[in-house]
Amino acid sequence: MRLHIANGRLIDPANGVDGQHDLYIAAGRVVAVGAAPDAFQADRHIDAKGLAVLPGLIDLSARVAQAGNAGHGGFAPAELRAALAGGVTRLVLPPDSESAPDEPTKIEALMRHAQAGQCAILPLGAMTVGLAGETLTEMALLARAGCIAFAQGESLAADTRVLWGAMRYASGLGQTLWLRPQDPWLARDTSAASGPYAERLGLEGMPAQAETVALHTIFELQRATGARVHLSRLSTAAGVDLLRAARREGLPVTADVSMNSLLLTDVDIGFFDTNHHLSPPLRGQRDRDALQAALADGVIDALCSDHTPVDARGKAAPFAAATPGATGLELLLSLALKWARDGRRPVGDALARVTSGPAAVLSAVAPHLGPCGHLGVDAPADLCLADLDTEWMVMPAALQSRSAQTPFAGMMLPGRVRATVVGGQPAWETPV
Amino acid sequence: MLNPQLDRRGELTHLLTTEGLPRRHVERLLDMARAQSASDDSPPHAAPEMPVFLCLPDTNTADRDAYAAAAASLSMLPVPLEAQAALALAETVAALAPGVLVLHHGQSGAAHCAAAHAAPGLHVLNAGDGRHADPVPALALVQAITEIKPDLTSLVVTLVGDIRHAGVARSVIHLLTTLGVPEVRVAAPRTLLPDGLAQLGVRACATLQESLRDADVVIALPLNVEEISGAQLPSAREYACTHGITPAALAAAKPDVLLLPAGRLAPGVEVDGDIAAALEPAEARLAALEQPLRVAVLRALAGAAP
Repeated sequence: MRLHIANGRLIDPANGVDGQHDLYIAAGRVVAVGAAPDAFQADRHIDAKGLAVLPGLIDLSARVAQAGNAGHGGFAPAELRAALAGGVTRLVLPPDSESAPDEPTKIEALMRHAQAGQCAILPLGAMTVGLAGETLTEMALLARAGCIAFAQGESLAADTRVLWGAMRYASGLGQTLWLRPQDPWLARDTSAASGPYAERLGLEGMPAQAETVALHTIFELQRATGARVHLSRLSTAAGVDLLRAARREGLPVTADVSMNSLLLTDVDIGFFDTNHHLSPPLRGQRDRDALQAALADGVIDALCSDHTPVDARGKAAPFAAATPGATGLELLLSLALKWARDGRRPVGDALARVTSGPAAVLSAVAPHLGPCGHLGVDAPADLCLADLDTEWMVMPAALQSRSAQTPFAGMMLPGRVRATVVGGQPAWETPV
Repeated sequence: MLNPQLDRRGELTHLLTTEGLPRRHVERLLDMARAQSASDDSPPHAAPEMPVFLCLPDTNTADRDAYAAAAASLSMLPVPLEAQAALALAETVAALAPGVLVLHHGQSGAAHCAAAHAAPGLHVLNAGDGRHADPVPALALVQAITEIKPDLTSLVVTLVGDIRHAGVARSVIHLLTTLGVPEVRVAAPRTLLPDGLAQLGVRACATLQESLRDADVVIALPLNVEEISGAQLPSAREYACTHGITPAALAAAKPDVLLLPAGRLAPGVEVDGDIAAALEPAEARLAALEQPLRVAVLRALAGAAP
């Protein structure tokens, strides 16, 4: 299909573009920006007047697979719709702890469900068999099956020797470890961040040292092995300081932050609101401010939704017993814009953190994927049209995701995706 | 943010915690209980035949019987729930008819969870949720203090023991600060003290000796060694050595110091054997004060006039 997207405000942070430019698409790629190529005949014209034309969003952490079932259940249709409704055209799928992606056949079975017109799904493989932290997985075979990097769930392997081995092994293969920097012992049985608020509620708190101890371990092992690491969902000010020092030192490390940690604090838990039971747990204002500053200055590369569908039953329990997680794909753009607006930062900065920032992480982790996250000539035609000037109220029942659980319910947010194009094909239009 | 235990008019609709509980409600509950203790008459029947659902662990038969008796004294109908009810708490609560739910649960926040899922007309009385709150025994401790030392605004009150894992400690701290006690101190091994004590209006003392100096009231918290991780406390013997209350330690307090147990204490651990023996009247008095408070809270939740 040949598409002509006319009259829109093209914002392409990677190429430094922000202005009125038409976009011409053919064979799934951008063929021209501004003036039409010779003899271009569009099959469809889209009038984007009043809308921004953005690269498709890239989400570095979104759970969209059917729960369990060793990958044979494929992807949850509602979550794929949620991705498109949120303008997300590419996402990284963390390992499912109930059915660890530790066998190439599981990845192959899962990826057989990928279809054209869906957002691209990039699975992470399990670092150890069953995510048990004991035996390394067949990383080379898993990479061949489609895994872009290797993760170990919500905490590091308890046995540091296994982590050391994984780093050496992955480094030898040119693979990346995608780690949640969290010490498993300090995180055990916790449901909130350590501090006055958790103590007030009588909740077992996770100290910031759960993150810093893990980061010290990771960086020290990186120095010894040269392994590339992506840090998933950093959550503390002290962690940001360590990351900043590691990057200054030149360690091959990238990082992202979840939109929940970027905008909320532990006080938002209020009276045990289980929608705020998240992993990593919400921390204090100082941590939130440090994360916001690090995202602004690029020490943290990307903002992710940490989309984790949880049903109402999972949240209908006392706080510690409730399932952690929240829906997020449909809120990613709006919350990035909110971050920019609240901090008086340029809109382009917000968009970069959900497009070119995560694209740079992917190109470092998996260069074979090719460039993405921009709308220059010859780029994949993955994009979304968004109304940046509108405000909307988050009404969980109106979201596409089957999970209506979000700490942002009832909040007025800026910006709304109106349409999403994947591989040059219109894939989503938000009903007006 | 609306306080979930108050209705839109600011009246008590659940008793979940003493944190943020307005002073007038605290005083009203204490007054109702005091009036009930002073009278030989049975309390006015608040809501005859209204069910009082008892969701208390089987191991806690004393509390179960006490709440059943309190409900019966108000002509309310005690309805024990099965032990499994606490497992599927939200579903269980949503299915309950209007009445009062007396809930004891191991998880902090369970009472708030129950209140959030309760149908209109069902009032939740928190009889202990994990380490978060235990309002009724805390009210009894405050009642016991006011009986002996009515002017709370001139007292130094010290809590000694496992503050971190004790809902009753948090509840009594909130009550004391709400009622204007000018100095609340705590003493315990550092692993048994919560973070953010300053935000609670409490001063942590480095030693037992320092915490007891010139104290008017000392509240000794029970130590549940079996439930405390070895990473937090090496042994009861070690605790007794550093924080056990002995006559010598207590000599630092005011001569008329009032010592109250916030639960069953083990002689030789939280308190010296001689002190434990001398605490029996205080234990009996606290038990006697707690029952009219149960009645008062049930009456208040059932909508009775003060």
